[in-house]
Amino acid sequence: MKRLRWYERVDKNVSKLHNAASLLFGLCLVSAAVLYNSTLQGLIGHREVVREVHVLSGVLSVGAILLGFTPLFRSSVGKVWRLMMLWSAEDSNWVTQWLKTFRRPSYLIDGPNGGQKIGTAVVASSMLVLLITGLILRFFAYFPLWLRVGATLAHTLFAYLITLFVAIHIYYVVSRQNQLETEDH
Amino acid sequence: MASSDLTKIASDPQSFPRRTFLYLLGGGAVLLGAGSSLQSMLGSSSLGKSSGLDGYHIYTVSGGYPTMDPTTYRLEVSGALANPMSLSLGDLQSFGHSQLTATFQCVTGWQVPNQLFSGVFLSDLIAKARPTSMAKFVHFTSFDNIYTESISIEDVAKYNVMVVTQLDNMPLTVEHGAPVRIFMPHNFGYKSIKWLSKIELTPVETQGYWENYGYPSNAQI
Repeated sequence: MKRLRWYERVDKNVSKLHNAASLLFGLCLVSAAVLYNSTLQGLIGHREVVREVHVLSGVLSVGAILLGFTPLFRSSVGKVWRLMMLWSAEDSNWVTQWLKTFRRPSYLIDGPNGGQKIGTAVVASSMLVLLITGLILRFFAYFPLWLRVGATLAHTLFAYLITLFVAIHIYYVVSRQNQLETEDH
Repeated sequence: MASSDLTKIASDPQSFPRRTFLYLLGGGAVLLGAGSSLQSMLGSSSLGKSSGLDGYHIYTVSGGYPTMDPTTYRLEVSGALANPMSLSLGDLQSFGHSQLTATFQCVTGWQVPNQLFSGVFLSDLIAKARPTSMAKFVHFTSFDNIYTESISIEDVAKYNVMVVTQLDNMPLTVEHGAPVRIFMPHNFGYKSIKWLSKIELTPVETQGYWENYGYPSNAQI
């Protein structure tokens, strides 16, 4: 019988919400690249449509996660969030080893590791900052120019940050999947 | 991070991810509030460019950059005027070579300072076309047939609105609206229409492309 992963044991809904938010956020990142890169903009054009796709996918990806905190999903994400915010000496050891080699320590942890916990904190804060600054930029007419300048700066820098952490996360998901497939054979 | 730091963190369990979360939220709030000051400090440095505050963010509203052969290009000047014109790029350049240094300011906050625009002041062009008393607004159309903009005729002379053929002493690139675009130094960038093909003087204001998407028609910086 297949052993459930730690987050599936907390609540299976978390996995569904994570996948939904990931797909939406992926769309948000792709549309951001089209808005930001002039070569891609030249290929795709239709800035107004791409902008709306970007805003909508970004808002919905945060919305999907926030939905998990509501009673509708029996606070599935809330349970994982509390688990992610716990920090122990084991997490410190895990991160220390990772920083020394930039490779995942070989021992297995039956739960989220220190890297995932830090990643969760970074991604969650980035998504909130991106949501707030993105809404300022979308509805710019209601805000003074100095705030729009700050929103552009914060939106850009936090977009870099979250892209870095998401890229690391995807790398480890793919490499872990490859590792599991090798073990299966 | 040194392992001794992590030992300290470990002695205070439950705090590190939560603190990371809260500190980053605080960092976001600081950037939001201090963006204008940082923009002045960073200027046109590479850090300023990579921060998204300095440097063009190019866009097009059609399905790609519209292109036009400069040798066959025509600018139609029509509407409420006594002398309608159809100008080639050469005709336009024969009207003179005016220059204007200004900041290109986007409505979302990014800017490109010290841009040298060259071309003909729109007021000079309109004067040659001899507008009638009916002419109150100037309506612009791009040759992508989607992008449009407008401005009052009073503002044309008041704010040195320019019909631009060169940017920083180089012919406009297609991304910047080649071969001819408008630049309005007093307005946010969306009013400075690219790929210009038609100037029409009208008695009433017509909403432009971005205004139809909710952007204010008064785009004064």
